[in-house]
Amino acid sequence: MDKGLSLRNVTISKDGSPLLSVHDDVGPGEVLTIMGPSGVGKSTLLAFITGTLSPNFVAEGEVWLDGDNVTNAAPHQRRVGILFQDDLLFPHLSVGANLAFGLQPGGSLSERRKKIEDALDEIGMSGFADRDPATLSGGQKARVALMRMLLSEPCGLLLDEPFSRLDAARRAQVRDMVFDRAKVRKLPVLMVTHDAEDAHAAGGKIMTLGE
Amino acid sequence: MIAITVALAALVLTIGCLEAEYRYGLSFSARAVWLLYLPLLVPQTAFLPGLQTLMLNIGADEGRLPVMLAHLVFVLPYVFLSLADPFRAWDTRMGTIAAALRASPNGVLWRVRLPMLLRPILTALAVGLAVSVGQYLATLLIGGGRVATLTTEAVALASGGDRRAIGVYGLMQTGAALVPFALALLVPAIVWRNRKGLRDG
Repeated sequence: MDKGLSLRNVTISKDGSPLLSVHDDVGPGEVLTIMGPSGVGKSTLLAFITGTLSPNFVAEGEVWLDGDNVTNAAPHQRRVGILFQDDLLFPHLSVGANLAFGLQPGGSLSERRKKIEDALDEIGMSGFADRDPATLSGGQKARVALMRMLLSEPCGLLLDEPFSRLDAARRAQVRDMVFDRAKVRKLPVLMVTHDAEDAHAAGGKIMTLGE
Repeated sequence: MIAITVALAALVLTIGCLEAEYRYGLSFSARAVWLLYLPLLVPQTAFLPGLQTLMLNIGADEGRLPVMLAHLVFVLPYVFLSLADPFRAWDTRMGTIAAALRASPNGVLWRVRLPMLLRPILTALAVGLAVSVGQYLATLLIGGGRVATLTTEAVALASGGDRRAIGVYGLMQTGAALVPFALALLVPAIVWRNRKGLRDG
């Protein structure tokens, strides 16, 4: 089967009334942007894909990731990465331990440490491994959050308004980094946003809901 | 000591309830909540004879275990009350992130949720200990007067004239309630001394 993320006839409804329906494919390294005003169910769609949909909603359709039907898989077995508007770094772990959280078991301690250091180098934050995440700047937190997700080797990446908390200068920088890293790793990216600038910067197909 | 076992049991039951609520999307019916809080609302003098009769009927009338069960009836609501709000207030997106990082539901609980909630958990434990230490009537009635605790001894001594012994027991009781609370403040402050994000949580 094809690589990438595909949504097949996904329809989400609440209390019997349909909220949204999507049928689309996102190939490796491609970006699909879903736009729409708040309350249209954008985040609900992402919750459906990550497997954390609230029982108040009823969803039909299938989610396929790299040729596997993951519609009914447990959230931790889906290999879907997600980034939220907030960085959501684990406050009780150091930056390095945050990055190590998603590393798969295996490899010696020094190998794992090497991986963490390489990852920090990649986002231009060498030597930050022992820092407390609460002491980082917003842009740094966003980069660590991205790298933490990538280190868990997901097969697809979801973005839930990921840049809206960043100020204008950082925003473009972090955004470029996210799309670059995703492209290098050939990840299908699904972004929901209500920001037209982000949608254009993504450079992919744009779908507008709620019209 | 009875209090430690009871408070730990109450804590485990509470976390189990709250985690099940989170995982399976359950919610407590109003009736279940009333049942849980009933022991707090009904005066103990009215409540305990019934509990005692129940214990006698099921043959649990000897030793420490029935006393612990009776304590649990009163400790559980307090522990639940103090832990439920912080537990539910936890940002569930943290759980989504951890699951996306391929942590199993148990992994999320042990590696993310419980460490982040260390302070409220220890506070709830301290509340449970204090409530259990303070149980007099429950210990006396369910234990048939044969289970001696710090509190029953202290009350017995209080009617005697030995002021020094009374003083020692008074201090021990204070300590039994105070030390857990002090630890609940100290331990998170020491463990998370380098973690600004948890200092107010």
